[in-house]
Amino acid sequence: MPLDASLAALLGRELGPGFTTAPAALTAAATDDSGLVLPPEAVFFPKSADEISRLMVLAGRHGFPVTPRGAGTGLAGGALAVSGGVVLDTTAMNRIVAVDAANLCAVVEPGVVTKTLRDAAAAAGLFYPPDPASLATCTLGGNAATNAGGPACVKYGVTRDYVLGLTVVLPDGEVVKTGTATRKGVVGYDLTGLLVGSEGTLGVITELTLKLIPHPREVRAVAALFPDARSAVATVAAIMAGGVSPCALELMDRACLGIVEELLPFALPGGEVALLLLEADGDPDQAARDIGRMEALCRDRGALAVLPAADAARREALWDIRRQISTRIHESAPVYLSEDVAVPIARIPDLIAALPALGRRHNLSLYAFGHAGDGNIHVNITGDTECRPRTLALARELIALVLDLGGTMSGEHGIGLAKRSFIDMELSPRSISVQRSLKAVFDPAGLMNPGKVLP
Amino acid sequence: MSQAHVLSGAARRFLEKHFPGDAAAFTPEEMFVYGTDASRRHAMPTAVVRPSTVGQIQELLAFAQANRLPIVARGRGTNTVGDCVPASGGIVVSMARMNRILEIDPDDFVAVVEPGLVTGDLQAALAKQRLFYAPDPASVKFSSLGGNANTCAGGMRAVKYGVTRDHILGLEAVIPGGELVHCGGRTHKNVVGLDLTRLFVGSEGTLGVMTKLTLKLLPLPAATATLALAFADVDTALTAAASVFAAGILPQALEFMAREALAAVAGISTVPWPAGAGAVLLIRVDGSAEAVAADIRLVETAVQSAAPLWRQAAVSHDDEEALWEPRRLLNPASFKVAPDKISDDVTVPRGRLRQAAAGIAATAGELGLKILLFGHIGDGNLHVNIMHDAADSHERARAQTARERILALCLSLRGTLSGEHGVGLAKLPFLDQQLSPVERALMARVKAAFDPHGIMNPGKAY
Repeated sequence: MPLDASLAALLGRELGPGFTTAPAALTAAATDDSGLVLPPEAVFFPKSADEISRLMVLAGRHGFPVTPRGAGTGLAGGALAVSGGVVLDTTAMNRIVAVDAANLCAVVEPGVVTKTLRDAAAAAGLFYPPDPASLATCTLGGNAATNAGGPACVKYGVTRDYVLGLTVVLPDGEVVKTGTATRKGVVGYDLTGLLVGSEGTLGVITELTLKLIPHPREVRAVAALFPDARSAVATVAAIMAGGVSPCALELMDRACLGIVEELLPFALPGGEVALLLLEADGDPDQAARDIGRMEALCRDRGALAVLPAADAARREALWDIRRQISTRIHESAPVYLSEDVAVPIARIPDLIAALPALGRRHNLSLYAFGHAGDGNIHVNITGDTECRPRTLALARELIALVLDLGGTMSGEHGIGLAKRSFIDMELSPRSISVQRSLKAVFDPAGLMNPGKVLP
Repeated sequence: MSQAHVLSGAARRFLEKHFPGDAAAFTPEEMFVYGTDASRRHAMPTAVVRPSTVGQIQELLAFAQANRLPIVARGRGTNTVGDCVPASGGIVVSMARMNRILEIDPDDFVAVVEPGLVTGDLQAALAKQRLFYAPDPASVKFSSLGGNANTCAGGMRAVKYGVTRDHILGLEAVIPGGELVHCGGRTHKNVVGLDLTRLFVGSEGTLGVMTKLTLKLLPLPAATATLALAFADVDTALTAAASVFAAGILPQALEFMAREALAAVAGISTVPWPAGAGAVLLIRVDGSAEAVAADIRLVETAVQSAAPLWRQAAVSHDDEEALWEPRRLLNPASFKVAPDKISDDVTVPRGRLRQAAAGIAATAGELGLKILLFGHIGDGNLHVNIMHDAADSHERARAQTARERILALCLSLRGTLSGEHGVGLAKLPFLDQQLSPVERALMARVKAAFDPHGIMNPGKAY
């Protein structure tokens, strides 16, 4: 481990009270939502880019790794310290610097919780669309580092589509600004685009300029039950092709519905039924029209039941079903692995059809739910305490299938630690070597979140 | 003439072997047109090749890397900043023959194309299937998708749909040395590894040669409608534009033309708006027929307090076209005002547009120049045409001064030197005003990671 007692003491003197080796802080920084446990040797809670810069200079001088972390809601272990060193927790940098209604943008520090910004924007009549499931706790810095998605992405795009510019501390302690405060900009390489989704391996984000849009005035929801996943997904394709632009299109398979049965507003029939949760937003008239068209398309395509949410409370109840699914799967078994593969939209039925046999072959339970509108399906794998090797074998088989269907192993969670051993299934050796050389451009000493993403 | 301008015998034999017949050109007559683009700059290529296959490009980039030969790839040469001009000599690679639509998949909402395909040709093919590729640079009828990707082209619909980079899911490119890299994929989401796709898009041919693009498609909006509005002056028009967003409407396009631009168009064509207008807004909305009608009513209400002098709405295709045609005539019309122009596409945060416009008008007045101001104000992107006669050295100098002042003004308003045209040769002298030495050095190292010997479009960018 690179941090001995005398170095820790020196860092404490140099960095001040934000630096700690207290066991409680190390324990808190040892986990995220991946289920992995890797305690660092110290944690630093900076208040400014200058303090981060000072830490990086010290890291370079003494050769210890630095792992940036937001709220630790990542599912791939990206914020965990694999080889000790310092976890850089950005949650104390949580100021909203500006919500600028005239320029339709916000300037925030990385530790701002996503929901806090969404609420502040809404108060000004504005909308920050990215809505990862963890939005009540996750941070905007973490969202940018992982390029987080969410249900609204089908209409509004992912986090990278809303990051106009960044301030970043590079591994050598230099501070750079990337991008612009404008909607468009083509001066220089798109370093903003490169940093978003780089999972803390290129630098530390210290400020974000985010794009906002006018807030939709109304949102309407409907749930539709289908006899099988194939007919549900065929409806998704018909809706997407029909010129309606839903702002959420969530799919839940039979296994998912089974664990939330008592929450369902209908009696769960037998067979391989699947549920769609659909939303439309915009003007009150338009949202009503769009939801009406989607209901009609669901009926045309053989929905067994179409259940519109009459008011906000009932809409909330439908989303609670969707959220409870994740929570209950997580709690249902000692071992839990969340894959977030994405396939081209038309291939979703092939993916879902293959899951039961895959689960049986490895003697594991599989649940599929997620963002059907952009092909991003969360496949959750659960099993007993002894099953970890089997889950990895299943994940490998699942990824092979997904790649065969023209998909990707991760739509929104990232690679981190959890999927690192699979990345060469998707990326060619040349692509990996190009990425390694880019990593070396930013971080020649390899101190920035080492052991992540690239093999 | 530098070494790069002379083709060695070995290089010529290599090119003749791998690019047989008319796939290679060596005479000045044949090569001349490949040395220019819409920037009106020119430099003679050392040789020109017109590949039909990815394999040919791989061979070429292996040879060029080994022999340190500059490579300048070009689409249709509509670039306005000199990206396609082989300023340091080199082999120009015309992608025009690689122009096939490889696949349109209406279920996956994906098109796979070769880079030489003309953007308008793809849009026409998609419309037949009620599909939609959103980016629409002004040159859409003759610019290529590869060129659009290399410059991250924008266009009128960017305010709602974003720019080219927002619509490229994946790409294939040959990098110096001849190896093929694949970036991204065909899913609408993908977070595996660093986002090389975004790095290639907008790199102005300085990292590699794109050979295949996977594009994101959308359902074709069922209907569009346009509202044209004339105002007494620029400031009132820009205030009205801001009130459109404040009303919660995100139009498909929001275009602006100031008095001198209106006069230029009126000089070559009839225009629908009254002669005395100080500024015109063209606002297009899209969606279902009902939504479009409702949006137009909302826009009319929103702009009421700015007291438009004149208004006209259009819902049929022909009526809409009649309102948009004058906007498209701006470029040819501008050359009736003066023989030469300096064209910039500065972009400022939307809330700073009025300040930018006022500053540009003041600059025009102080220097006694006609400056045409128009553009995609929905995303803060202003096209500034500084009209002058370059044969008059005093006037040329004043035009240069105007340019420097305008660029400095826009940067001081937290803007950017270029919203969609790129840096190329034209904006290179000003780059350091926007990028810090640390940022520029980082970009230079990024380039070196792909192109260690600097053979890709040398003399451009970073």
